[in-house]
Amino acid sequence: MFGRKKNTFPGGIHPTDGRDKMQTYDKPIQRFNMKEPGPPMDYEQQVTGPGDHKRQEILEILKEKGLTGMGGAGFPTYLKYSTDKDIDVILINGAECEPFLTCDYRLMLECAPAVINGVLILKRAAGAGKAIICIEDNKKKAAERLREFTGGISDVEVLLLPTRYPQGGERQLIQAVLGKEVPKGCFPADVGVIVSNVATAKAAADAVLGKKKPESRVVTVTGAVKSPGNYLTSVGTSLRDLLLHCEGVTAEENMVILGGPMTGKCVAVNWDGGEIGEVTLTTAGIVVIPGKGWEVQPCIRCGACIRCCPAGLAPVNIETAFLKEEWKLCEELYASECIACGCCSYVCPARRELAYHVIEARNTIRQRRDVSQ
Amino acid sequence: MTEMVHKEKQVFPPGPYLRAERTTGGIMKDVCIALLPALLGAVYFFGIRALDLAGVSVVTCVLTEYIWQKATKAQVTVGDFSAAVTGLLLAMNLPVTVPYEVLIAAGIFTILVGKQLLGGIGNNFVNPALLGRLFVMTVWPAKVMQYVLPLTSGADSVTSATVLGTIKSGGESPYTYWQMFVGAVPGSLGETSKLFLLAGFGYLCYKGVVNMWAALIYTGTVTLLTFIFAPGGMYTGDILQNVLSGGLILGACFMLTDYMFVSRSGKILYALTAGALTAWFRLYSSYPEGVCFGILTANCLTGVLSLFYHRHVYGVKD
Repeated sequence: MFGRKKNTFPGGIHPTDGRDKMQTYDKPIQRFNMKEPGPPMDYEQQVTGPGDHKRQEILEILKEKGLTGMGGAGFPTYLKYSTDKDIDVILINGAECEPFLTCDYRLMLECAPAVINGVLILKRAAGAGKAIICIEDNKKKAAERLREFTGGISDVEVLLLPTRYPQGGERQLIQAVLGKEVPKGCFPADVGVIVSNVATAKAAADAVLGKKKPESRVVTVTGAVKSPGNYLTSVGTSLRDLLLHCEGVTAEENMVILGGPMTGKCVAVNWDGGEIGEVTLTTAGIVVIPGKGWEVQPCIRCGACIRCCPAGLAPVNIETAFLKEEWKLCEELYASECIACGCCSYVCPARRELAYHVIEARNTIRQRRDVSQ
Repeated sequence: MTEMVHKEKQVFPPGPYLRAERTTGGIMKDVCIALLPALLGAVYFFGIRALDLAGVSVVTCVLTEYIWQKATKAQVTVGDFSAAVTGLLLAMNLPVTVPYEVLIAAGIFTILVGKQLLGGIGNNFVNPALLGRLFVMTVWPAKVMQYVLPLTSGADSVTSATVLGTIKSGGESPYTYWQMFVGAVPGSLGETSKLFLLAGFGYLCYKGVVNMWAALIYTGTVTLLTFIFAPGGMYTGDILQNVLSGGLILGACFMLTDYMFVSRSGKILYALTAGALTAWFRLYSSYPEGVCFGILTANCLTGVLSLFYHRHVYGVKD
């Protein structure tokens, strides 16, 4: 009850204790809508490192190939890495804390050498002395596989973290691994850290060593679909084709979620085979959730949302202020610091749409700030 | 642009698309289950009338809530079992001799004043069942001070003072600690058997519905203070007697832990406050029992107490 365990952050939840990922843990990456692959290259089979590429050269290549973060936000990678701040350490985010998703797990398991090479490239791009690959302990196999290749490298560490959502949130990961916080209004680089997803690391290796543009990614298709799996597919592939390839949806009442079920976006309700969009570089998964939403009930002041908020906010208070449109109060309650993880809505026994309202409050505050400037 | 996004969000439910299994109804059902052992204990000790009282109380509370919400065209929330819990707790807080009409009046008052007029579930800042008890104590003091010996003592409905009442008037309690623990003593329906109450509380803790620490700290504070400032002289209080008598365990397990919208550290402060107040009422008020007053006063102080604890926001300097 008192104190905090090692390598964790305050708050957070255990969405479904890893059971949710069972559907696709053991599904090897299949190719879908992809050209036949050429013979495997050197960097895909063994740890070669960045070779004699200088930091500036790597940044140029990353910019030229148009690499963006593949974790979710899709921030241009070269911009993130061409910081003039001193970077001590880069964290490679393999936490994959979103329930149901296993694409990063399979990537680490099946493309370990390429991932390690990507990590070494990113480490040089940042001018950092150390790289830590952070993996939750429900993916031990991936960590073991990576360790097979990092044995001789002293400045790349593979770290297992307790499984807890939202560990993969950039700021939460820094807190869990390094025990420090990124001050309000600052970026991780301001505290000497850069965080990148494992898929981004793999893409960096492909770009620098394989001279390939990032034009494909692994997508987990799971939930209420007939044959769930992990698919390597090219950007622009229609979500419809991908879902039909998995033999369609098995629940009559369903919500099709683009991304993970916690932070993803609903793109269709009661999907019947129609067009719903396409795969982008940040599409980590398509999850089909049975059901049609929840009935909102009055708050019972249990305080669960306050206890679980990893940002330390009081979601229920912000919701009340938001519904009354009291923007000043929203600001005083630090609605601007919401990380949109969705924990508050997840735990709420009254099924209130806390996350939605707090995120809206945050966005409104930001808009008003922009207007007033 | 904003409008479009808005439209989109009206069509699709907002995320996250996974929700925890626990619902308001589930929590309240768990509390009902946790109260069952104590209710059965009451039937054993005070006869079948205990069950009738509980039934009447629950029906009154649920009906009152339903009619009020229908009349005010509010969202009907009787399905969440919270009115049933209130009704059950109200009955638990009254002696077996309470007349039905008094109980029904108390039930209506509890739900209307203690809950709905304060804004309904979640907005009522006091525990409605305790408010109902306070109402009966004020309006019909004679009706609720009539405690009887349990049936197991062999005597039939003999009026008798509670342990705390006896001590307050300067007497010696005739009951052993074991009798007090099992529940073979005069008192309100639900407060006599600590054994059954703790069994129910254990269930709630196991289910993770309540915070065990709040109950422990509350009980500890009351025990410590009544030990130190005992009427017979400093540091001479009877610890076991103080823990096992009156509604302390019932209050600690089922009233204090009623959700009061505070964080973990806030709960501790709240439990300490309620404990100190309860001890003060027990020792120095003209009433023998202080749990009801103590918790109700602490309820009213939650707003003030919340000023004393600070929550760290990520990335913000404290």
